[in-house]
Parts: sequence; structure tokens; C-alpha cells
Amino acid sequence: MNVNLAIELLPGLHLKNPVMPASGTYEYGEGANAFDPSQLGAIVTKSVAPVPWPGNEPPRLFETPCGLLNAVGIPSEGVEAFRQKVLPLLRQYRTSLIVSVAGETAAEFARVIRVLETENGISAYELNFSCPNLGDGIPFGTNPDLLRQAVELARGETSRPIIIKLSPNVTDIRLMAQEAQQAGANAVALINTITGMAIDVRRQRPVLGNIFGGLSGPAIKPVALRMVWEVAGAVDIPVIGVGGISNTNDALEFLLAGARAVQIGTANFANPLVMPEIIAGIAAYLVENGFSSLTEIIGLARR
Amino acid sequence: MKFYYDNKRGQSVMMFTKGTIVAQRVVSDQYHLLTIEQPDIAKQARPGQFIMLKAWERIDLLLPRPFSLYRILPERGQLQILYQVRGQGTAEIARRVPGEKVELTGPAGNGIVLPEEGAIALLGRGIGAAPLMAIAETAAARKGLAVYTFLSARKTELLLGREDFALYASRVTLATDDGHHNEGRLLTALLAEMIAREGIAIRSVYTCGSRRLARGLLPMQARYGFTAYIFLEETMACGIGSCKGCVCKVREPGSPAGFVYKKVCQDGPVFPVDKVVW
Repeated sequence: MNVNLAIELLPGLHLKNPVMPASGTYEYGEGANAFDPSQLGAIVTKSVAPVPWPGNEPPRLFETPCGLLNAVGIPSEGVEAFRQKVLPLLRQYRTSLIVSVAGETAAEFARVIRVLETENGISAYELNFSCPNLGDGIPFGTNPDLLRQAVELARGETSRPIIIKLSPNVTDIRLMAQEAQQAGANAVALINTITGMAIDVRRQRPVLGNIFGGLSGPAIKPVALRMVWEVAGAVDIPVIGVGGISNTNDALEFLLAGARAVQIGTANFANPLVMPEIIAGIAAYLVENGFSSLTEIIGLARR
Repeated sequence: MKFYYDNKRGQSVMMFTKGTIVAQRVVSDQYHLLTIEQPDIAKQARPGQFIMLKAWERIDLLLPRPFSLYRILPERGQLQILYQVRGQGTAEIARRVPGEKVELTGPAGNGIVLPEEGAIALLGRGIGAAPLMAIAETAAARKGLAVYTFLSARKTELLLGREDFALYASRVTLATDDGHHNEGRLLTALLAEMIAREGIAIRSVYTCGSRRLARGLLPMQARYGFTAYIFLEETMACGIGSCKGCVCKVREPGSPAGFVYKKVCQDGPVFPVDKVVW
């Protein structure tokens, strides 16, 4: 098909297409792939923590209508093991690599970046400020001061692009995005999961081992799309759309709302081939509607 | 479409594909036996492995559901799953009729390694009989490997697969909580009694459907010289190792907590009972 899916996500970072996995939803390397990961616009890793972390007590999952509650809790082999064992595997793929970074304090984010700075083959960092499953709450994603401090500290460690993944569990997500931009972030990705819970009435107890979990899947797509629309109109840095995208139509909605790329999460669990299907679907849409390049439709619905 | 080669274990190619329903039979009350034609998976699958099955178009039921394999029929290119209608997913599956297509991912997880000879025991509680049948059938094909099956349930009608097990097992011992069979005694006690009375040397024991049964096997291992394994269940989203949701605690001396989380889908679903943190 004679159509250009490539996009410059942010200055200097060129993607072959706008589709990438949401952090933690796609098992890369180790041969466990439904398709060649080099087809993706980028690989986004599961979040890398400064030290090994086992993740949360099970049960970690609960399916809801059109959604999935998870309290996996970012299990990580730790940045040292990631650097030595995982990174060499990921470098073999011919696409951009975005390393997602997790931490419980601003200093921990900076520490992970410091360890990875000397490694080549990393296109950008995505700071996971919004996982609702760690610690005593959601410190970075919902507190503008903490967010700014953490971004500034990370900024001091690297000249590579920094993407901030934003939590939707705030009153006005535009303020958080603006804070991230002012503190030196190069892009924002939104939304992470919406905090929720479920109770087992038979056992009279919360279902999830962590009590609270993050809601993902088609149930949250309208909320995510609204927030992407809002943020794309409120900041000058690029926006990556994520939240309940399950098919080509969903992905197109986010691109038309102003996202320069999209991340696919929960849909990978239901259909391991969904990402290549969406890449092909976007190309087909562009051809059918007389566009020659992806960039022509970014934000087109905002006219 | 074949998409997955598991290098670490090198034992199977996982496929994301479609199958056709060949038969749907009500076995007892809310228990159904579903036969699916999918020759590629049927040829690859081994006892202990499972499939992820999606049999609906509605998008509110987001995820496929994991099912153990009751029978693997490579010559016919078919798989059978024995399932209990429990939630919305299984209710949808129960509505499907022969000729309809379903989505399948598999064979997932690791197959078990059976001893070449000697004797094994299978202990199944209720629907826990399901994955044991594939073991019985495979073991029966090996000369010199005897299979002793023990099944329990609340009442006789819920003893699943008794006729099928009778075809492959050297003996099938039953127990029901209502006392109709063997005064409702524990299967572990019945196994111990058989070993003591007849001097049968059991090499491996596989159990499913009751954590109590699995725990009961723990102290018996050293005494009777067998290794016991349990089929674990956890809620799964993907079944292929991506979501990291279906974990169980497995003993690991030297680790900070004394245990590590293992994925039931990729590291299991069968684990030695003395490795599991109960």
C-alpha cells in the first residue's frame, strides 16, 4: 500500500508507524511473540524499577463488563538485571525502544535513568507516574509539586526524550500535563488505568489482593479520548493516546483527537495480533479516505 | 496461524487460531463436555497443557478463558474440554452448537513428564477430574505404566468422567461426601490405604480441584516415595505470559521473601506440591 505511516513523534524521534504497546501488556523477547516486534512503531518495556520487586499479592486480576481490573503491581527484575539481560534482547529489534521507568520516590526514577544512560539503543524514557498499585497512594501522578520535582530530577540525568505517563485519577489532567511540560518533559502519554475495586459478596472481601486496582479496557476509552483531546489542546508537547484502544477505529479516534501515536494495552491480552491488525487498519483507512500520510489526520477532528 | 515458539522449553508451538465445535454434551447438571476440531493444536498438545478459548462476539466479555484439556485426540484432530457453567463466559460457551467457530490460543503452559514405567495416581475433586483424563489416556498408551484414579465429589452425579477413566485406568476409586461411595473418605486416605495394603509403588501423583487434597499429599511423599504435583488455577488475562496476573507463590530459598511469584500460565500450570507456598 502506497501510504506513509511514519511519524516524527517528537523532534528527532522517528517512528515507522504510530502503534506501540502500553507498558506491561506485551511480553517481548524470549521468543514469546505473536509477530515480529520490529513491525511496531516502538517497543515500550514493562516498567523497570531500581531494585527487584516481586509485584503484588494475588489475586491480581478481575474482569468487569468491557474492562479489566488489575493490581499486578509492576513486578520488575530491577534495573541492573534489565540492563544486563533484557536490554540486549530488545536491541535486536529494528524499531524504537522506549524504556518505562518506575519508582517510589523522585530519586528512584533518576537512579534508573542514571544506570541506563550509558547504554545505547534507548530512544526515550517513559516515566510511569501513574501506576496506582504501588506504595501508599499515587504520589507523582496526582500531586503537581511532586510531579514537577520528579521530572526535573529525571531531566537532570538525561538528554534523551522523557515521556510522562499521566494518571487520570485527578481533577484536571491538563494541569498535570502543563506541569510536566514546564518541568522539561518532551511528551505525555495518557491515560493510565482508572483506580477501581471489586468486592466478592460471597466471601465479603475485596477481590484483589491489593484491594484497589486499575481499570483498563474498552470501558475507559471514552474517558481516555476526552482527556487526550483536552491535553492536546493544552500543551505544546506531543501527546500519546492510550486507554481502551481495541481496534483500528479506536486508534483512529485518538489520532484524530490529536495524539501523535497510540499505545495498545489490554487488547493485547484478548488478541495477541491486535497491534499488527491496527497498523494495517490505519494504512487501509488512509488509502480509502484519500490521505497519503498519517500526519494529515493527526488532530483532524479538532477543526 | 502459528505465532509462538517457546524456546525455553522447546516443546511446543503455540497457535492463535480458530476451531470448530464438533459436539456439545451436557454431562451432568451444569457440567458440559465440548469437542473442538483444531488439528494443529490437537497434534501438539500434551497432558498438562491448556487452551485459551473465546466463543463469543460480544465485547463486554473481554478476555478468553483458560481450559484444561480433558482429552487430546491427535488422530481425529480434536480436543475435548470438560467445563462447569459458572459465569458469563462459560454460559456463552454452553450456548454454542456444532459447526460454530471459536477462537483458540494454545497449547499453552507446560506438558507433564510421565515416568516410563511403574505406577502413577490421579486424585481429582469434582471438576478437577478434567485435566487428569488426558494424563490417564496418555499413560495408558505406555506399556508398563499403571494408572490408579481416585475421584471425589459431593454426590454420585458429580463424579465426572468415571466411565472414561474406567477405560484407561487400572482402577478407579470413588468417594462422595454423602457417603454413598467409600463413606466419603478423603482420597489421600484411600490412596494411602491402597499403597499400604497392596504394596503398589506409586512414582508420581497428580491432583486437581482441591488444595486440601494437595496439602494432604505433602507428608505422604517421603513416606511412600512419590512426587506429588498439583494443577493450579488463577485468574488469567492472556494465558501467554504477557499480563503477569496469574501468579502463585513458589518456594525459593535464598530469595528475600523465601518465595518468588511464578506465572501459572507460563511456568505451570502443574507445580510440585512441596514447591507451592500454601
